[in-house]
Amino acid sequence: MPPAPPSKSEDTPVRVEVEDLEVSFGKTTVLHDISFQVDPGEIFVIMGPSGSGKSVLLRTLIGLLAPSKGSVTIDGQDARNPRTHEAVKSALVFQAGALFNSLSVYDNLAFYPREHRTAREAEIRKKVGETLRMLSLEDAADKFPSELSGGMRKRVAIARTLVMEPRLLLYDEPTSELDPVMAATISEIIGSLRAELQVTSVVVSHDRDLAQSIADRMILLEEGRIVAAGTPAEVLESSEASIQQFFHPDINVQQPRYRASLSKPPES
Amino acid sequence: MFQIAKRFLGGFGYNVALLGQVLRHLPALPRQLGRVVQYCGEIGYKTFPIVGILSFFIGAVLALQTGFALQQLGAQSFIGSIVGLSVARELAPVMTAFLLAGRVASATTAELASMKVYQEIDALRTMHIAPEKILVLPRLVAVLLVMPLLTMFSIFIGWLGGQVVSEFVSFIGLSPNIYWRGLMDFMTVEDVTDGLVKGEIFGFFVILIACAQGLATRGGPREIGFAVTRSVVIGMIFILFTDYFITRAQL
Ligand SMILES: Nc1ncnc2c1ncn2[C@@H]1O[C@H](COP(=O)(O)OP(=O)(O)OP(=O)(O)O)[C@@H](O)[C@H]1O
Ligand SMILES: [Mg+2]
Repeated sequence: MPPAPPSKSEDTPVRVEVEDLEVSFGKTTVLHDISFQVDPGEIFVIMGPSGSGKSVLLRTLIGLLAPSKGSVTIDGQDARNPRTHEAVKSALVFQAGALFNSLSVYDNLAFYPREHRTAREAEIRKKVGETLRMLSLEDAADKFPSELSGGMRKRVAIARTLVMEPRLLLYDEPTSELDPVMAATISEIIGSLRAELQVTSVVVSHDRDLAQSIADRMILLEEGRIVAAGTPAEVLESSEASIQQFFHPDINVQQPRYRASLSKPPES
Repeated sequence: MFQIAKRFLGGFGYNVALLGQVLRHLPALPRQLGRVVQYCGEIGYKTFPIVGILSFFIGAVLALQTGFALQQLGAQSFIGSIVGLSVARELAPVMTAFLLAGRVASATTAELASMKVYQEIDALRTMHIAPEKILVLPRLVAVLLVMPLLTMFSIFIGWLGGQVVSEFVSFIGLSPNIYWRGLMDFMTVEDVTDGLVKGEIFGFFVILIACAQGLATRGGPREIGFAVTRSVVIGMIFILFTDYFITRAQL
C-alpha cells in the first residue's frame, strides 16, 4: 500500500508513483511491470518508439484508463478516482489535441475557468489573452479548431491546459508538430512552470533535444516495458553499461532496440 | 439470440447507469440553466414546425377516414369526438416523440458520438468536468420542459386539421360548431393530460437513449453513423413498446 497522503496544501508540488503497472485491452497487454516515481516538481520524460505504450501510460496516469494490475497514485491517492485529479489539479495535453471542435480557440481556453468559476470574465479574458500571446496564437483566438494547422492545434491544446494552472501537467508529444523555434518556446514554458510554480511535469516525446534540455530524469519504453531509466545523459548518451537498473534493481532490463535510432540526429 | 439478449440487457444497464450519473449531478442544475435554455431552443426550433405540419395532416386524414365511414350512417357529428380522442391520447404523443427521435435524438447522438470519438469527452474528464453534468443533464431537463408544450401543440393542430377537413370536404360538410361541440362533449381533461404524460415519458427516454448511445460510441468516424442509426431505431422501438403498456395502465 502507498504511504499515507502528505498534507495537501495548494502549493506543495505533486508526487506520482507507479507500481508494477500493467494495462491491458481485452487480451492484449500493452504495458508490463511499469514502476517509477516522479518526484515533486520534477520534469520527467518518457521516450520510446511509436506504439510502445507512451500515450496509454499517460492516459493511465490521468485516470482515463484503469490499470489491470498494479497501481498509480498521485500524492498517495488512487489515480482512478476523479477526485484525486481535481484535488491536485492535473491536466493532460492530448497527442491529437482533443480540442472542443464546436468552440472557438478563445472559448476552448476559457472553458475550464468558466465551468469551474475560478475567475471572473474580465480576469479570464486577461489570462486567456496572455496565454495566447505566450504561444503566438493571438490571431487565432476567433478561429475554430477545424481552421487551424496541426501545429497550431497542438499549441492551443497546450494553451488550454496552461489556463487551468495545473500542478501536475502531462504532455503527450508537445513539440511533435512544431518548428524548432516553437519547440524551444515550449521547452522554456515547461521549464519556467517548474521554476516558478513547481509544477510536476511528465513529458512524452520523440524529441531527443527536448528530453536533453528539460528532463531531470527519463525512462525509455519499448514494447510496453521500461528498458532504460536515469538522467538524460545516462539514458541517451552512454552505452549499455550505464543503463541503470534505476527504480527496481530486480527489474528485467532488456536491450533497447531504440538505441540505434536515438543516437542518430533527429529526423527533420 | 443469446448475444442479442446480452447486448440488449447491457444497453439497458448502460442507460440506467447513465441516468444514475445524471441524477448525482442534479444539485448542479442551477448552474446549467443557460444550457437548459439553449437546448430548449434547439429542440423547439427543430421540432415545432414539422410537428405542426404532420399533426395537421394526421388530424385531417383521420377526419377524412372516419368522416367517410360515418356519413354512410349519418353520424358525422361524432367525427369531432373520434378525432379528438385519438389525437389526444395516441397520435399526438407518439408522432411528436417519433419526430423528436428523428430530428433531435439523431443530432444529439451524432454530437456526443463525435465528441467521444475525437476525445473531447476524455478532455472534459481531464478538466474535471463530468460530461453527464454538462451534456446530458441539461438536455434531459430541456426535453421535460419542452415536450408538454410540443405535445399540446400537436394535439391542438391535429384537432384543427380534423375540423378543416370536416368543414370543407363536401361529403362531410360539418359546421365547425358541431365539430368542436362533439369534440368537447366527449373529451375529458384526463384524455389530454394522459397524452401529455405519454409524451413526457417518450421524450425523456428518447433523449436518454440518444445520449447513452452517443457516449458509448467507440472507434472511428464510421461508428458515429452507426450510433445515430441505432439511437433512432432504439428510440422508436422504445416508443411503440412502452406505448402499449402506458396505454394499458391509463385505461
Ligand atoms: N483503445 C485501445 N484499444 C486497444 N489497443 C490500444 C488502444 N489504445 C492503444 N492501444 C495499443 O496500445 C499500444 C500502445 O499505444 P500508444 O498509443 O500508447 O503508443 P505510443 O507509444 O503513444 O505511440 P505513438 O508514439 O505513435 O503515439 C499500441 O499497440 C496500440 O495498438
Ligand atoms: Mg502516443
